[in-house]
Amino acid sequence: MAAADNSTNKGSIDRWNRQIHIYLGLFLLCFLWLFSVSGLVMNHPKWFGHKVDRKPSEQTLSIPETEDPVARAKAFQKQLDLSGEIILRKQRKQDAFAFMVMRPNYRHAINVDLKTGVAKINHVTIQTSQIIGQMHTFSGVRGMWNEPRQERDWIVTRLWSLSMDAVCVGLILLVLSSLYMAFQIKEKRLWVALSFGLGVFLCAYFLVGLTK
Amino acid sequence: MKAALLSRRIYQWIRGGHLYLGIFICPFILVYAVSTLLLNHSIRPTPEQSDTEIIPLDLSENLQGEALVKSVLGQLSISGEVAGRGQIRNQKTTIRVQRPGRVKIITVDLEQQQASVIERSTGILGALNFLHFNPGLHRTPNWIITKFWGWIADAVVYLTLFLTLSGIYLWALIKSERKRGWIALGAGALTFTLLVAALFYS
Repeated sequence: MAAADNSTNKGSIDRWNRQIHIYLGLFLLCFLWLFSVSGLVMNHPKWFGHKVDRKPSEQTLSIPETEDPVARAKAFQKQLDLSGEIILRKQRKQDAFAFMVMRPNYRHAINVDLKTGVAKINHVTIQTSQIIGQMHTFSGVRGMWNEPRQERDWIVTRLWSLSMDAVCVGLILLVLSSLYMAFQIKEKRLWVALSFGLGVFLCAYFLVGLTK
Repeated sequence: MKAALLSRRIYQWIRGGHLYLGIFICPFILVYAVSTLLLNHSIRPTPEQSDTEIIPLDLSENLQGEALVKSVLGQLSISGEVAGRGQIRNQKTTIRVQRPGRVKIITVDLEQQQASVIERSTGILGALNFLHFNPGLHRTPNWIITKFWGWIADAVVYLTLFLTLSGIYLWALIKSERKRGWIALGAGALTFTLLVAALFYS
């Protein structure tokens, strides 16, 4: 009786595991294509070209009273009618305020003279092959920007970043479910162990074997 | 009969490829998934810095540029991904040599004929980030190991594409899973489209 129960439980776990693998894989399909192809694009910038189109413009803005850099950037962004993630820059001059408004397909570099209110705007259009690279890295908190305060201030960035987390968790589940399924096939267990062992060995070599 | 046999053989090849190649890249997928979670939440390791080590060098006069870098690294027996082209300022040049989880910063004093070496260790978290970024958009690897990792990174992409396509093929053959599979595929595609549309047009 206990043996039959165990077998039923195991059958149920196997079925659930298989279904998670299939449906999760299908759900994540578009995301996996995007993040894998964009990884390739970023690793081979020469294959796809690396051109950006810049158009400068000027506009006079009213200076908000706030001293808070994010609130100030948001006030300017509103006046300029731009939407996207705000990237604060290191403020080099006391009378100037520099920031960027970013989306994967556009980037606006804005430099406001706080005395005159004149904003110099550099509109950068990103070419198609680079857009998917931008989507790959569009987390709102990239170290390379050296933002004094790193936060995601655009709701879409938050959603996109959440989807990146979800894809990662989904991938970890896919890996676990595939390992579980693969080791269930008794007659293939040796070859499964060998291919998994080779992958683990290579990864371990890069992760911990090269520190000396 | 022949067509059925061929189709059976193709099925077995695709199923075998999906199984063994999928299992092989599992650890690499974990490296990318975990490092993405770290990067997405700005989790960066705090480097542990070693004491400065002063090492005497024997450098010939007028040595500069890549020849200088090569000579210094040769004498110090240090290898890794090198940043620094040996440009001399105030009789000094700095070379950064990076490996997964560790970076050595070498300041060469040409006048004193010595190098001061500082090592910063970032551990396994640093190694994960290093591997995620390599080769990357802004650099061409100059160390055989990072070049090799670059090939692996490409292979992971090609294998992921193969796994998704073979996965669709294998799913399409299971009649009982087709309806719910379409729902999962459709829900994923819709979520993706809405998010991309919001990124571009909102």
